[in-house]
Amino acid sequence: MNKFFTAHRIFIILMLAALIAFLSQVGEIPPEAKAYPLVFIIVGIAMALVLIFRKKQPEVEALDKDAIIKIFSFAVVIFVYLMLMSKVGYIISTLLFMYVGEWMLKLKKGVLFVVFPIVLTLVLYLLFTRVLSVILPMGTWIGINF
Amino acid sequence: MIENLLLGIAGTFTIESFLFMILGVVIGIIFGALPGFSATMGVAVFVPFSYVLEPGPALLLLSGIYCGGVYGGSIPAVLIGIPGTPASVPTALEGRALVAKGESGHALAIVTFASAFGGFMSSIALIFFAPLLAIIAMRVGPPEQMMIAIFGLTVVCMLSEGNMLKGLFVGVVSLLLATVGQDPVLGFPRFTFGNFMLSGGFETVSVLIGLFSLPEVFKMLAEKEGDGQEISKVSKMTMSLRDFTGHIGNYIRSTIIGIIIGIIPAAGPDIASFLSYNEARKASKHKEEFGKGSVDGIIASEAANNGVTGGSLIPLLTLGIPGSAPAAIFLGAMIIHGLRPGPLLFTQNAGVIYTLLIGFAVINILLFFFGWLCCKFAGKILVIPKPILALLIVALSSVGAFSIQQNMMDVIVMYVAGVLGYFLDRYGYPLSPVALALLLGPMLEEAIMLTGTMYSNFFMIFTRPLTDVFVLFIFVSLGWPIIKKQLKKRKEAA
Repeated sequence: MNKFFTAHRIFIILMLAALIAFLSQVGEIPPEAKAYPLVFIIVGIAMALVLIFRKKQPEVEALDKDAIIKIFSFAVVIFVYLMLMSKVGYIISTLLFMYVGEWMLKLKKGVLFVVFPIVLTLVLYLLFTRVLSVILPMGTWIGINF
Repeated sequence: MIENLLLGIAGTFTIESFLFMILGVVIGIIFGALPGFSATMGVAVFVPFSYVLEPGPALLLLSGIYCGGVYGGSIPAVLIGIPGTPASVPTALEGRALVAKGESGHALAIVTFASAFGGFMSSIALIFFAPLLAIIAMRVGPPEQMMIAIFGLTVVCMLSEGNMLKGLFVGVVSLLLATVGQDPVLGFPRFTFGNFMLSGGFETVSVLIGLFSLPEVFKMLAEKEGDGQEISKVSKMTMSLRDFTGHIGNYIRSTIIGIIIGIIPAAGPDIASFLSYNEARKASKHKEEFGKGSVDGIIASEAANNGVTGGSLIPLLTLGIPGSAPAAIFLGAMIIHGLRPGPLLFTQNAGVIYTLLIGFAVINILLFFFGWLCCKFAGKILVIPKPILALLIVALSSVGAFSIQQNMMDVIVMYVAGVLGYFLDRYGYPLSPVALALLLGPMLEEAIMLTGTMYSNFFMIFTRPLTDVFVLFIFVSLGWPIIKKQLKKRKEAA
């Protein structure tokens, strides 16, 4: 990869793209309501450019390949879990997430491996639904609710 | 005032309040003790739990977590040598040396007493100074609010040591994110990108939960297997009267440093701890002991980092500026409970606020006893496997973010904030300005609008003395890095 495009610079370029996306929306806002955020967009873009082009870049400890795969795959698993929550309900999605997570993070197989997801899911479910009166996602496809 | 204090005592000394204070302290100690976890994370994750409680017990629960969390970080600092929070780094240095001498129990006893002392004295400062500052806050109008918000934000960004530009960048982007949703004047939806679910803006507490919890989970995953250190056994926890009387000056100086640092917006326990440790070394007659198991070093670090807790609530309750990251989340919880910080809080909600003030002092007394107890079981807490901790945090964060408005959008916002927070943290961008900007952003915009309505000529606001005072503060905070640099140069030249 080109030396210029360090991971940090790519991150700031993505932030810059987000700021430009905000800028593209400014035209739809009435003048009374746009001056205040416009200041931050302009200043933000200017700062992002400085952060991209300045010589001094942060020295970040490089992650090994295994760590990157682990973090990325766990982030994906969390995302799938959150997406599934409204489809299959809180209990099924959380149990699935816990077991997949335990397997992924290499928790030793044993009593803890089996019991922890069940206990945590049920404790949180009962605490939130019964004590805190929160209606947790019930699931539009399937769901276990009681 | 006495009437209000009695109201506070009545609110604090109930079975319900005591239960939540104890629960908060224990949860806080566990959150602080687990490496990678922090007081901020504890407060963030438990904010949703406090919604169903009455405001008094809710704030006591969060206060307990806050104080317990700041203290808990010192337990692994002594027993493993890995500080649970950055504020415990000096404690780790001195604590490990004492452990090597076989005095782990003595080190933990000093840590516990110094923490409780610092926290208790800061709560006394809170009881006396918060109502006094509230009287000054009576004179605060929109122009002052505007300057207070700018001051708070500049201090946070400037405190990003060596990362001023990064701090400012994060602050500016977060202020922009705070404008998503309806504008305060016309109610016109801004930056919703056609998604009606964004018309209410981002739920601040969801963002904060994600920001202060998920990055720690990702960091935990990056650690290599076997990174965990050996946990030292806790020897008999002992402390003599001399451990207090022989170091009383250090206790008082360190606590005062902690309180002052706490009052400064977002200057958290870590800054107080390092500053106080350095001051203690300068003042000590036995400088050579520092780094080799100095009791003075532990006292300085612990009394200061717990002194921050009460100090950080002083500007929060009176001016609406949080003095630290957990205090910022505290502000989010207060707003949800219908408690708007400011002078009126001390009259309209006297019962709740004085319960918090008195409760804060009681929490720090409880901290001593429950801290002492938790130290004995610390060996068991610290061996919880990392996968369990990671999954626990994700589950708590997700269900917590959902419960705020029973809305999946908040959970997605929490997740995105968490991923973004991980990258910000990895590249050395401070996260405190995000919390402060999201909370102060709406106040700042409203204050600017109202000031514009009050004064057609903007410069007329400088006829208000209090505005000038805050403008002066802003200039000092902006100029501070330059002044500091010059002072350092002179010192080196001398």
